[in-house]
Amino acid sequence: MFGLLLDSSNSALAVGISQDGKLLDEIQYSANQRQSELMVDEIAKILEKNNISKEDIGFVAVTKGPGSYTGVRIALTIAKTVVFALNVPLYLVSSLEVMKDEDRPTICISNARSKRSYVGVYQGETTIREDGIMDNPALLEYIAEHPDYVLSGDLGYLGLEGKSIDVLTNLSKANVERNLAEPLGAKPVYLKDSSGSSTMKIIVREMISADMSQVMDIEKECFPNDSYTEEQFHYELHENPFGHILVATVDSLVVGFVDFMVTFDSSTINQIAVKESFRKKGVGTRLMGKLVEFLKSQPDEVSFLTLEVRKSNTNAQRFYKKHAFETIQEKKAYYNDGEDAIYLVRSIVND
Amino acid sequence: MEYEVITERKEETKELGKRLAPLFERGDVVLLKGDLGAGKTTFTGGVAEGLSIDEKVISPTFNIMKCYFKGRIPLYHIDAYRLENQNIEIGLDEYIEGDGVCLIEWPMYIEKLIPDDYLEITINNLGGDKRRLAFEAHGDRFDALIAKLKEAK
Amino acid sequence: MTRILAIESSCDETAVAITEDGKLLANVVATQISVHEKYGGVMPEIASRLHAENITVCLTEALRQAKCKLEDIDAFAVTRGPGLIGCLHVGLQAAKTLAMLYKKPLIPVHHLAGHIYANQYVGEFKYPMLCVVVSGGNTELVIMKGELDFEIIGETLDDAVGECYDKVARVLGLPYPGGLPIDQHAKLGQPVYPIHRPKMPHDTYNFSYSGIKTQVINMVNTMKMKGEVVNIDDMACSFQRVAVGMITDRAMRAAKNYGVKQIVLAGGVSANSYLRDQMQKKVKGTSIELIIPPLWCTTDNAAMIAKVAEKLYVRKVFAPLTLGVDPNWRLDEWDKFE
Repeated sequence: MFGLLLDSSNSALAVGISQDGKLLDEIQYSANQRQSELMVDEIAKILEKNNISKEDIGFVAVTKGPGSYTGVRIALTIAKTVVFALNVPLYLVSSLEVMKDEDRPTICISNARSKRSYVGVYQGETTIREDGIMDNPALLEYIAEHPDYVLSGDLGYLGLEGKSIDVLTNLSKANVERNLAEPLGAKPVYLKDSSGSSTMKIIVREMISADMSQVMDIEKECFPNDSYTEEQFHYELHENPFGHILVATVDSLVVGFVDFMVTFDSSTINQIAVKESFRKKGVGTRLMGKLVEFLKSQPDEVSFLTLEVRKSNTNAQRFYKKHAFETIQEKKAYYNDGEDAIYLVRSIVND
Repeated sequence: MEYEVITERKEETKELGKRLAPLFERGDVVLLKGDLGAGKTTFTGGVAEGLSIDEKVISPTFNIMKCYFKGRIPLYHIDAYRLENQNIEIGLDEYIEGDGVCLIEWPMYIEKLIPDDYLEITINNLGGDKRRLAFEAHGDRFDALIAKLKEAK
Repeated sequence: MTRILAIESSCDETAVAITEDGKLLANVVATQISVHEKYGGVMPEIASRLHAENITVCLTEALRQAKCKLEDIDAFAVTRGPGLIGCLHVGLQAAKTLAMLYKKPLIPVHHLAGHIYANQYVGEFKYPMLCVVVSGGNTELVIMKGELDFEIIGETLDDAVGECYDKVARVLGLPYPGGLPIDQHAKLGQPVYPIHRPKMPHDTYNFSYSGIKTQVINMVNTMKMKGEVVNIDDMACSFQRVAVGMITDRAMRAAKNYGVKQIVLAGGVSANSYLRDQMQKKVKGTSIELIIPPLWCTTDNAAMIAKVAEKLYVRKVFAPLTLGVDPNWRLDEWDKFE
């Protein structure tokens, strides 16, 4: 049985054949954005040259990124198609890890552009630093702090020289349990999007029908006892002329929403909800900010924004106080279960 | 360095793009500023012609980016209009720092992806088909380019 | 017996179809519309990612529907262009890989040829024929004098008509894609807003949509600034009359001048009910036959790619494994792929 090894995560095109953990044959050259045209043909050539038929392929090992978005997808799509057709295992390896030295700790680097780099640090089976994205100055500092580490990658863009390491030799040993992937769902690692909550991009926009199922999930999570039904949301969204819903999204997932009404000069928040895992990350503040902006832009001046909150919900009250709400009165036994409500008001001044 | 040209007709705007094209090298970035209808796509059409690309250049808004590979060097035409307040990490940097010349409309929406050195062209509508094209160089490479453009006149 | 497996991934649908001597055995479409809805248009990188995730899922489902194995396939066809470059790459890799493994021909298909030939699922072609190709990325009038003989006589000079619909929908606060919502609102409105056709030569078959879009944007913004309420139904109606009017007028003029026997509609915008109605009215009382594609053919699918691939299979139009994509591939150069 042979292994088919593929990498096109950066400018290189690499195709290899392995047998028993050894690299048997390889084709490698710089293909600069021509991998889409050339890669399958190179696979055909290397199989033919080594007299290997498709039945002899025992597994496919491929790099999964991070790297060039298009490049990573090309090798991965080919790999997925091969394992789909031949029903053999698929092994996915980090595009950085395949650049590691045999036994010494290695800083594996590739150019992430816009003055950033993809960086992962590996020693043998151990991951010293998970794959991530670093600004180039920070990376240079990290390199200076670790003079004993090997540098690997095409580092001309940093004014450095990296050790050139054969990625196919590393890939030929990749058919181990921890790299085994579920072939149908296999997808690349893109990294730039998920660069942590500090740079999490929150977008607030008006709700559309397609958001319904996600909004309902958040509704049930936040208000398990008295959740609105889908019909109620549908009414607010499409029928109630005074009703509005804004949703907050992160990476195109809905993570929170605010449901409110505007009636002439006053407005009322019916509900504001943020998904548990996205709380304390500024989502509520963004929703509130956009809501106030929305109210200020109304053709008829809106003067007040009001809401009721459960007396026991002190977290929420703190949030509203922070956003310039003031307590006007307590409403006795306001809720179905007999709990009192605090009635809060904030003035909206058109500036 | 700065430079300004007034064009009276659409064809002249296009011609200016055509004249600029031979000066472009791989990796050059050009920011195209101006309102809707200012003539940014017309100008890009001229650049394409000057690069010996015989495909028709049309608005890239739908695709965000259109690529033309059949000229002297590749031409990447990006329209970032739809990227306002969006995740901009959609692989455009591979083209912006790529192997061709990259013309970017609405660059303010992808500011983070713009390199230090670039040529900025602002097109102003002076009424009818009359346009003012203001060239502004950022970096030595584009100072030299504008100097050559002036000479080539 | 010939079995063809076709893959389409040029825009926002991942699709796989299998045909046997022209009979459709499987037609799988994984649509991404709900994802792109949020962006007010297709996001190419997101679309490419979803294609890469979905492609083998769609292949699996297609083989299941067709009850056949990859060994039973005689040729693998794929959309090579036009379309979004990153998206085209994904389908191309899958098709090339299968052709390589099973040592079967690779057939490169033009996406718009696919849209035109989708009509063969409902009728036979009679030449000369006029194809009205209208979609999110294309607006073209094409004369066919025989099988696969395409002559482009008119095309858009700026935006495609579908793109214009999407932009206008966005300005009016309607969802993406804009075609259907505008069509629906237009039915309730009157053409009261003065939207003008662009000034173009009287005999042209070319289109221009960028000016119409700008007119709507300016009008809506001006009204908002004055605090006037924009009647969405009326605006949709006013816009649609002009946008579609430009198509029907040029199409009928071309049909007459080229003496065509048939007109076929193709592409996403051919689902538009006003366009369908208007075309039907215009051909009434003439000898011209109008073919309107079934709605499932107006969105991207691979059945239409398989339909073209059948013709190419007979003509032995096969590509080498070094085939690349062409995001701007011209219809009249469908047999040129280097």
